[in-house]
Amino acid sequence: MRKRALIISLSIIILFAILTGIPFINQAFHIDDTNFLYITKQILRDPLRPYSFNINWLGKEDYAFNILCNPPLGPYYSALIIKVFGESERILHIAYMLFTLLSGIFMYFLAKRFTRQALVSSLLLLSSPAFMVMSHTIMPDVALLSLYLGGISLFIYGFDKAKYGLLVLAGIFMGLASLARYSGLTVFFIAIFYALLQERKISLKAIIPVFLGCLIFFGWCAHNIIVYKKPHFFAASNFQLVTLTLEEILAKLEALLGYIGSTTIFFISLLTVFLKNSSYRKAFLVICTVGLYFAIIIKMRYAYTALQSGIIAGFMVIPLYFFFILANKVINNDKYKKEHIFLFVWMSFILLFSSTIYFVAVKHILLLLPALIILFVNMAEDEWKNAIQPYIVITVLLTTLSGFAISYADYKYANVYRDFAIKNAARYKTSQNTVWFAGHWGFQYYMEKLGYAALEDTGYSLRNGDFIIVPILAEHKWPTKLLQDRIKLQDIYKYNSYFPIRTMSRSKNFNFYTNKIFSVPMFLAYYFSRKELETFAVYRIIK
Amino acid sequence: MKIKELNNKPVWLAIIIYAASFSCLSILKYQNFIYNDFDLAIDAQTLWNITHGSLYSSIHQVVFLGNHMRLILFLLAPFYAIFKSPVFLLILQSGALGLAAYPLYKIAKGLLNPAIALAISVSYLLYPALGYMNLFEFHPTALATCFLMFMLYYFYENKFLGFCVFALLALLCQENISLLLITMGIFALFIKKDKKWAILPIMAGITYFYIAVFKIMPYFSKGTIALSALYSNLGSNLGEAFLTVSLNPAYVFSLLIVPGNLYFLFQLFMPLMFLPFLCLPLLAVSGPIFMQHLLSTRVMEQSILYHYCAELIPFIFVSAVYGAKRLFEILDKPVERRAVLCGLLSVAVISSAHLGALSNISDKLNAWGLAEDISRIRQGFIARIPQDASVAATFVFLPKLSNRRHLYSFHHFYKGFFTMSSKKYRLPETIDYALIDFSDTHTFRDFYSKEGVKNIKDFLKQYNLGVLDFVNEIALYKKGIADNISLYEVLDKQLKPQHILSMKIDKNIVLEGYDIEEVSADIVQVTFYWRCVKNTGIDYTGLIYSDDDKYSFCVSNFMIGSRLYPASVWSADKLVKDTHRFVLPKSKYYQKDGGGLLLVLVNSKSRKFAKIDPSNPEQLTERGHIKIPLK
Repeated sequence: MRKRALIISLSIIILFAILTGIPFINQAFHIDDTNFLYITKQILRDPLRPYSFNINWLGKEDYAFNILCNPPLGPYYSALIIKVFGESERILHIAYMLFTLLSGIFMYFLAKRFTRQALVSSLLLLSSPAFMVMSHTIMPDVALLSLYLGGISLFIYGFDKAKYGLLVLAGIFMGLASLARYSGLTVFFIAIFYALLQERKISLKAIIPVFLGCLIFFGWCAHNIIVYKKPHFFAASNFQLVTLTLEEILAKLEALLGYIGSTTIFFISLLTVFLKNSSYRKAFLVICTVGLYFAIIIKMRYAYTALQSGIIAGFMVIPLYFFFILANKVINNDKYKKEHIFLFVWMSFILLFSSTIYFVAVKHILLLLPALIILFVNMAEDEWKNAIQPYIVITVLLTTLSGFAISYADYKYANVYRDFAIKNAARYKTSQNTVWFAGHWGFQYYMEKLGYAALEDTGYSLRNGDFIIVPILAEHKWPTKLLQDRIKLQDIYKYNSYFPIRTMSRSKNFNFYTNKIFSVPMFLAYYFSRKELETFAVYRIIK
Repeated sequence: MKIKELNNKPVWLAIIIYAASFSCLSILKYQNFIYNDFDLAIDAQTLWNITHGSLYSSIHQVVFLGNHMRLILFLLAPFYAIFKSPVFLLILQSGALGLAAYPLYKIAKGLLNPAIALAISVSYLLYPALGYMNLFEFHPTALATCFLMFMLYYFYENKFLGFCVFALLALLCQENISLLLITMGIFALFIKKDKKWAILPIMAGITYFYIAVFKIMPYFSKGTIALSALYSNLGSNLGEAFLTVSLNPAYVFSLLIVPGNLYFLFQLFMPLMFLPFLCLPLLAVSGPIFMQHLLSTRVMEQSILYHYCAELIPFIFVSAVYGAKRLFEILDKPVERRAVLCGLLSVAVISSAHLGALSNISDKLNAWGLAEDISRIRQGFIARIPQDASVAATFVFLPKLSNRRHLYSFHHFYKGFFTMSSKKYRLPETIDYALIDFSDTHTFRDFYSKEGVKNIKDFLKQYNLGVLDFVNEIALYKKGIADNISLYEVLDKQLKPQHILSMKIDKNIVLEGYDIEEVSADIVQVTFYWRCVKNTGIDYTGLIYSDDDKYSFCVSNFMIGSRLYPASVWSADKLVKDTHRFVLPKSKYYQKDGGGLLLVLVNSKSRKFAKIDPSNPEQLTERGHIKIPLK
């Protein structure tokens, strides 16, 4: 019976993962997909030297080893897929669905250790907008999460039952997680903390997987020293280790809280329970005061509209309130205390760690999402008791709906760059001229693929009759002052969509993929808007 | 250990961390010449003079009691005689402000639980207004914050002697504290305390205020400092101002309800979730000080960036404690109280990080670090001034020159008037040295005077001062010598610079070229040759950046033609030879051989970059900055 239930649960997870991925398999390559594809192509040329190439970044040719700050596990996987099946959006997105499936499955097993609602936990992870949007890209964040979850769940099972085979496997997963993104290194701290919490000492059971994982990571560093004379981790850290002001750190923490509130909407369902209790209702009002204060501050300092400030504060208040209730329950209730502390520390650790890196984005909450979801489900079990089923079904449905809505908005946005490159850029190409572009992300990938040239700072190579195409939103360096004197605006292209959600706007200060463009921090991952998705300006060189 | 069993250790730890960090920051500021007003120098010099038998403050040119009744300086003088440095005052200020958290904690602990008391104390230490006050010069009123907090503690502990001692100490810090004593006495009556709690403070407050404000201060000031000018919107003197406040409340209300004041109040109360408003009677005790600042025409008083909240903070926080007590009568369940605790701490952190002095401290520390090269030069200049010399200096130099009998702030000479006064500045008998930073915006922008150029020339002539040395717009002048360096020359004949540019600036000026020579390993001298096409009355500011491909630092800013002969007074067709010396950054990023300098010109009228028309495009960078290669 238990085996049958397991098979049914896993089948539901796999079906769910496929159903949430299939509609988006033709999504254009997007944001940092491009950078990972460049590493992939380099791996195909020279598998031992993944960063030995130059890339145009903000108008300058830079050495990839110094500026592409992520390790290459994802690109190696992509290279393998491309080598066997060829390069296309459909092929790579289907290949990356493997990580979605793994995330769902490992989440199921991890949740099983802490709650009776393991299937719900897994579905909440797969349906949350933060996860769903990222699973439609080939950035290694979902791959990281799957390996991270694999490492932790295998570690916990191996540790609890003293099964060394599982612990060895956990070590391999942890090591691979650190090669998907360097933030994967945090998995070792979480594993060690779990071991300490259980036994108050570091035993062989904890040392084996950590040692193995570290061995994989240091193996990669040794490769870097041989090939590049220094570890990539340190080269990449130059980018991350910038001076952060206290305000910047807090702005990141606030942004992360906002992302949690806006992309894990299932918390709202718990409000229905807690607001019935007079004490929790009063506590909610007090936390709302914090939100109100925060709204006023960001309205004053960062030029958000009153409505936006209110929405941001609302998104921030929800997780704050959730954490508050959680902390109260841990203080008051000895039941599951160790487990709750473990999950709470996991979540807080990732939250604080992410606040200290160069910028944050929705993808940075992925690593804390499993702990958060399990805690939520635990709380839901406590509060709804036997009546949990209808509530939880509605919660999963609403979360899935929001996941699809935001994924669709991002899908429409991603496709704009491919569409422009294929349909419109060609209009300006003649046999005598060059069409230049200034802009990164998916736009760079498609423009370069079609043979257009990336604009360089100096602009010395530009000739009369050439064209420059600049998208407004995609990160780019505006033509320099000297170049501006030589250009004339030729055409403007605006891409619209009636779908009322947007995942990026510079003028309105929201962005799913970063909280920082220029010096103004952003706190919103998406927003309700019918403003154009992107605008392309085409300039002609006149002298 | 359960949270309820918390002893006093955490609060002491918080106090020590606060006092140590702010002391370190203050010392760093002091070492790197970041104090750019004269308040620290005034009190340091006064203390130095007291220890040498004089009550005279040469900066204000009055006995120091003519400025403010800060009798506390007599108590500090013996300690200053031991430590002999303004650093002592900075550490004392940080220590006192930190220590004030302790009586606050004790008050809160007596009324609430230790965890909430600790949260309120931490909230105090993170309070934005407190941090700014601590880092803005030195003020005896900062000590009053601590004394008033202890005074309130003893007031609520019913210990009359302790109350009187700290009330007296607070009173010695500044004359306006006496108003607080009066209202404190009225408050004691209101809450039906024993009569002695009311009579003594009221009598002492009234007497002290009258004697200080109407007798002693005017006697010593002799009209030099007119504090009543701050309330010119209420009347021509303090008497009229009091009358207006009493008889025309509608008008006063209209002055109070302005956006600047509301924002100021928001910054004061929001970090405490407006809890002080739940204890209005105690908050009302600080009413006279609120009125003093909110009605002042000096906008600095309605800002948390300075020291004007010093007397308000104790009352705001103790009111917040009583406010929290009231709130807990409504929110009596543990969950609700924990929510208040979390709320208080969250708001304190948000306030500190978004509005507080520490919000961008790492940027500031970086900037101070970058100022190291120039600090070394400044320190070198100061070392060349003899201990007993009479000196005039711009703001940043004053604290380090304060241990002397004759020290003058250059802005008085430049402006031609005393500070906050319509009285002409009385020129001192003799000036042996002048140390002037011509790029100091506080002097030359905030105290801008149309007569400024003439005043500087008169000053140099009057005291027969010649340039001894000149680097990064800092000129050290010495009495009775000829100029070692000519800062500017006006030439009729055409000269051929080493590097010819012929670059038009806004069509008003032509930069004919420049000469460059190495003065020392890290100092270069650049002489610009400007030709005036037509006089437009516009000045130009030059910004010199280091240029080494990757990183760019602002090395110096200067007025082209110098402050002595700015572009606004140039005559058409004259050639101006304009000499500057720049310290090259010693940064690890800056490679002298690989880079050079960049010149950016700003039109001071439009406040935009000047439009530059080069004779050859390669003279400019891609951003349009003028290249000055070092080789």
